[in-house]
Amino acid sequence: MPLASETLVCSKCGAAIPFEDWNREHAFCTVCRAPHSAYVFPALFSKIDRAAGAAAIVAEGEASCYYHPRKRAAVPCDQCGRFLCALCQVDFLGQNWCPGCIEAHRQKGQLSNLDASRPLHDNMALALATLPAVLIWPTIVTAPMSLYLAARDWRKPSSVLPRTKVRFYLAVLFAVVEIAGWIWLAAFLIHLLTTRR
Amino acid sequence: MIPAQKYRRLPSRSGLLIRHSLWMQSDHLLRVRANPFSEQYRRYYFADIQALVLTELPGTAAFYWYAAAISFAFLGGLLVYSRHPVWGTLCGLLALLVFYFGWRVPNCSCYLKTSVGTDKLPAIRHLRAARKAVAMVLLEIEKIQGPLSRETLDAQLASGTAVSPAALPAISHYGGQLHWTLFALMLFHAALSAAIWFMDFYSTPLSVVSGAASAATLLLAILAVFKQHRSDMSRGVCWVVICTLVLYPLNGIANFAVSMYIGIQLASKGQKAGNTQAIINHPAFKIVRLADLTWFLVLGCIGLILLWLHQRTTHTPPPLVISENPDIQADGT
Repeated sequence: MPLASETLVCSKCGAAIPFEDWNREHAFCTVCRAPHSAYVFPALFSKIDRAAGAAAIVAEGEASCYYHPRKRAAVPCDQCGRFLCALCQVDFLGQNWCPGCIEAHRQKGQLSNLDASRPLHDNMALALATLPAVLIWPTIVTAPMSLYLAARDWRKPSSVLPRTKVRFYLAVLFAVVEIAGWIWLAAFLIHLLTTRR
Repeated sequence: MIPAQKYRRLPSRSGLLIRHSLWMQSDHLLRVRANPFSEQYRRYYFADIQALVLTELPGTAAFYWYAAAISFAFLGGLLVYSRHPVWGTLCGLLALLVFYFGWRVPNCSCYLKTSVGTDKLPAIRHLRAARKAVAMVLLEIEKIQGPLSRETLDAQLASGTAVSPAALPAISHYGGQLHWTLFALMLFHAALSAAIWFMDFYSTPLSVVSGAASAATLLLAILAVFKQHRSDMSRGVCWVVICTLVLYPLNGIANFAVSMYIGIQLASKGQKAGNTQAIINHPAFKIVRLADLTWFLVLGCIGLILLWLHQRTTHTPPPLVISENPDIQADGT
């Protein structure tokens, strides 16, 4: 029988999925009869036993952990070379990292795999160039703002997903057209006023 | 800069303004929630994923399909009756809107479990795409964690302890008797409203029965809401009951407002304000009665159909007949 913490439930009614239905295609919920497929993997049964690895006390002449001098070193950090115990070793991007290196790289913005969110600067610039155009007048302010945003954020990291710079190009294009339109209008009005005099 | 691998998109996404999508790298699954100006990420490393559950939600769109069909029927009826295209156009637009929502409604749900929690994957909403996405994820998880055979699974489960009763959610089976009565009563009330609408004279007994049926409908709808709470009743049926409860006060307010309007109009013409015959013959009152009839009829029909579908899918097969012959097992072997 499964452990209580290993119970899987039906998404529709919340009833527990019997373990006989685990890893079986097209089973039915015993309560709501909704068809479901519950896939379980070996990780469900693996037990994390970090304490055992970190509990080893360093003996005479053995290398110790940089962060825990009384713990035996297990691996070196692949970035800085510091010795790490099993508690401090972080398996990241297929390498052994120490917490210090991860934090340092994260602060420099060099680890896209640790970002929990990203602003979409290109969408902001494009929205600023296009949406106010519905009301026409606000573009006198928003078009230069859009150009400024595009110039400022051109090189900033955008989405972690594959993304082109086409929105930036469009934002710049629309903003330039709008600014040109305002310049033309201003020139036309000045010309009109001077010819009337 | 640490070079990052490119993400591959999984064939599942949802939402219009707030979009959900799933992406994959060689070692993890990325859940993305994007609004027009930012993206939020959640990573699930394949080595940490313990389980993945995909549940089909049949019948969630049924309400919309029936509503669209009824709207189309009204479209035809109104076009024939009024011979004016505006009513038909309005009804057609409504039907298209309902059809669109019916198409957008999810027909499956998926969540994954890790050692720290259980998270729903909102991008997975449609079964066909869900099956493709799940197959791709399963392949990657198997590459990292290795396969889990049935024998290994049984052995692991046999070595564990029993399920704690507290872990099972408190959900009850409900046969839907109260709902059958409610929807039947709604149809009965609709029939009475139709009779009053077609009659040109005021009938006190008919009005009393209609009022009693209306009050009983309200009472049963309230009881049905309590009964369906934390039960296995289908979502469509639950929504019909909720719609009934929402429309009931609106209908009452409309009835009251129209009666007041007619009373004031009659009084201004020097007639007796409580003249029931004059009220019944008034076109505004007839429209309110027609609306009353329509929503009772539509919701009653939809409710009965959905309840019938729900009972058909949750029907428990009869128990197997155990043969007297001890050599033949219950499964026929």
